Amino acid sequence: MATSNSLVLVVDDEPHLCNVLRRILEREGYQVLTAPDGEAALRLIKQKAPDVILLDLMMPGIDGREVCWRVREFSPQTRIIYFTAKTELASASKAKELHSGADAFIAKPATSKRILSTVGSMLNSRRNKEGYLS
Amino acid sequence: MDTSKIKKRFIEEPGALQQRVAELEKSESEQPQAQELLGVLFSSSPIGLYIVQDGCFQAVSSEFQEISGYSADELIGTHSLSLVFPGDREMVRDNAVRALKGERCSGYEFRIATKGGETRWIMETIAPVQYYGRPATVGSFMDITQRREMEEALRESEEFNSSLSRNSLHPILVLNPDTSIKYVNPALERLTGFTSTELVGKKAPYPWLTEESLPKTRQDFKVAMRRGANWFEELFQNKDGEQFWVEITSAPIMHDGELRYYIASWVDITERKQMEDALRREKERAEGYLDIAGVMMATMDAVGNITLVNRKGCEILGYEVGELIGKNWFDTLIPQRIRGEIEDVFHKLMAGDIEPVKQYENPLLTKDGDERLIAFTNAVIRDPNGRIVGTLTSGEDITELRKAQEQLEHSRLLASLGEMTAGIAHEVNNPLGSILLYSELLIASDVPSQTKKDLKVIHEEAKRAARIMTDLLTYGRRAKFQMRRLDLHSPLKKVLEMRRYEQRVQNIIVSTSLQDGPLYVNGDSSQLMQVFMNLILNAEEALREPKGGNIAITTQATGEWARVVIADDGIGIPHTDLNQVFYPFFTTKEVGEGTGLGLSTCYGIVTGHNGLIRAENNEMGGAIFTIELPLANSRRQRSSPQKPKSKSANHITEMSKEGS
Repeated sequence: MATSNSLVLVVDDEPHLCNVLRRILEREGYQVLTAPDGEAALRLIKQKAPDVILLDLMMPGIDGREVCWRVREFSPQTRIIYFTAKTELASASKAKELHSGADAFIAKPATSKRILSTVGSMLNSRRNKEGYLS
Repeated sequence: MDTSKIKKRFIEEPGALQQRVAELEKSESEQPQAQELLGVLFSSSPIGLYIVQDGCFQAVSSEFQEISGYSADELIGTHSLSLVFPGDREMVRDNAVRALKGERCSGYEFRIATKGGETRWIMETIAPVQYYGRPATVGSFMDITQRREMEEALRESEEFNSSLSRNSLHPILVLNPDTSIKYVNPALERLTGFTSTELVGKKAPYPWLTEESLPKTRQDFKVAMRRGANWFEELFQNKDGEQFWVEITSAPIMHDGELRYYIASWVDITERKQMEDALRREKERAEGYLDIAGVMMATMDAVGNITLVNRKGCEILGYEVGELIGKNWFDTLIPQRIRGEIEDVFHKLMAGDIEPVKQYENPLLTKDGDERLIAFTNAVIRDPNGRIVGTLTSGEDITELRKAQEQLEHSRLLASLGEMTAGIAHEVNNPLGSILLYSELLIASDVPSQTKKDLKVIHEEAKRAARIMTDLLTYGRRAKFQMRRLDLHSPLKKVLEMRRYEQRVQNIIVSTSLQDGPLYVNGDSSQLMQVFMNLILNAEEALREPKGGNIAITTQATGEWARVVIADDGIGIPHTDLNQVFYPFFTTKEVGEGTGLGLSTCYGIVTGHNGLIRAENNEMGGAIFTIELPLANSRRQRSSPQKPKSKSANHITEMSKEGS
């Protein structure tokens, strides 16, 4: 499954995490953008229309859920992965139910393998026009 | 000695004497002999004899001298009436005149004055005689002073008794053996309104008996007749039909083993009875007040024996009143392990060595042997001299409240522990994520093999730390619930009870409309209390700003769900926050601030119970929180709860949890 040229947006207020995720994803051939908060993320999404968003939930200002909710208004095709230390969100299906709109869920901390496989399957499902969770 | 015989002889004596004198008169020639005979007679007769001629004593017997105290020399020649008491002289003279006319006067009584100045009562008989050929009287007399005195004493005594009875303030009644009334005194006439004339001779039933009192009176009378002296109380009525109470003391008067009279003395006790009635009513009313009191009340004497306990006290302790009165408080109600200590304090209190502790808590044993925790308020009871004679205690059963408070405290501790763990996990997981990913990045890069080995250790250790965090959170969640079947109303009511005071202070009016009967769910009571407590505190907070307000609580069984709605008319929830109120850590405050327990806890608990919780704004203003939990025994219990239809996704946030 080709990953080159696919654009991934990493949104997290932890700069180290943004940085390491960028390097891991770039090494796999993805184009990577990062944003430290919700506002910056929304600006980039409108400008660059990323294929996949790796979205932290707890952020100052506009939090991850709201980013997700707004993105759905103008770009329903964008794949959104919640990447959060919120351990209550035990499953992806619950994440979807609770936060209306996320396609997948990764609990922090996660291995690079888990992150890459989730991003990969998101892109496949997008390509196949199949809902990830259906 | 038979007095009637003496009297008879005495009366006959002058007759015999008269005959003798006549005989002597006939034989003038034998006069010296006759004189001698008369002398013998006069000196030996046991009766006082005398002869009076022309009003003066001619002869007196030795007994006469004895009685009068005068010698014959002193008497002979003196006027016979001079001895007689002036008031009686006329009567005596008349008799003497009649005797001289030939009549015989016998047995009249008069007084004489003796030489010694004493007054003696005399009974005398006189008869006419010829003495030395001329008319004279012969008299015999007897000293009856002693008899007169006895008679006088008897008369006085009778008069005294009769006057006593007449003037007695207490009614007196004398009955004959056939029950007919022999005598009533004026006091009885006054009390009953019937006159003596109306009553004397009447047999039972007497006019003061009422129909209601008749059987009792009859019974009492029978008892009195059987037992002799007796005492009883009766309710009678007077002539006007007014009722009065009397206390009757009665006694039969016996003579030679035979009932002669029956005497009864009454005391009018109507006023006393009325006071007793008033006192009894007052006591009953006071006991009534005690019995409707919502707290236990008891009094005990100086040795700790129970002298009073009200209905609530009996309810709490499981005893009947009769089982507690007179029992020792400490032996009966105080658990053994603290008995000595508490009794010690009590004795010091009774001795006045210490002041009573106004409020304290200690457990009491119920009849079943259970313990109830009671919050006591105490006061000592003193007699009119100020001595301590006991204590008055009121107590409230706080067993359930205390248990609920402890549960809530425990649950709060667990919740804050859970929240703290979650907070730490969140903070730790981010850097842990960085460590994990950086080490992976480095491992994949071109580094010396020893460095690669070291990096792998870092990576493994980071993963271990991540697992520990997960375990910690899992453990925290598991520790939360202790499920059992319970009435959902029970945790709700406990919370309302706990908040009642604060709500009153804050002018918050709580109205409840609860489903009839219990709403059974499977749940953890203290966790559900936590939910209600949070929601109610939340509502209170919303009402605090514009001072006061209303909270309406409704419970309802809808299909297979138990629904609780808590609505306030406060400031409501800002539109932008409505989506986020239940979100864990959704708050503008730092973790641990504010109430310390947010709506996220409610969410966690309700979803942990397979339930739903949602928040919405009331169109009229204020917020509405709705909780739905599966009813116990419902088929839904194990399956995922059905999501109720949302009115609008933008206005309602609903959260549910799928079956674990």
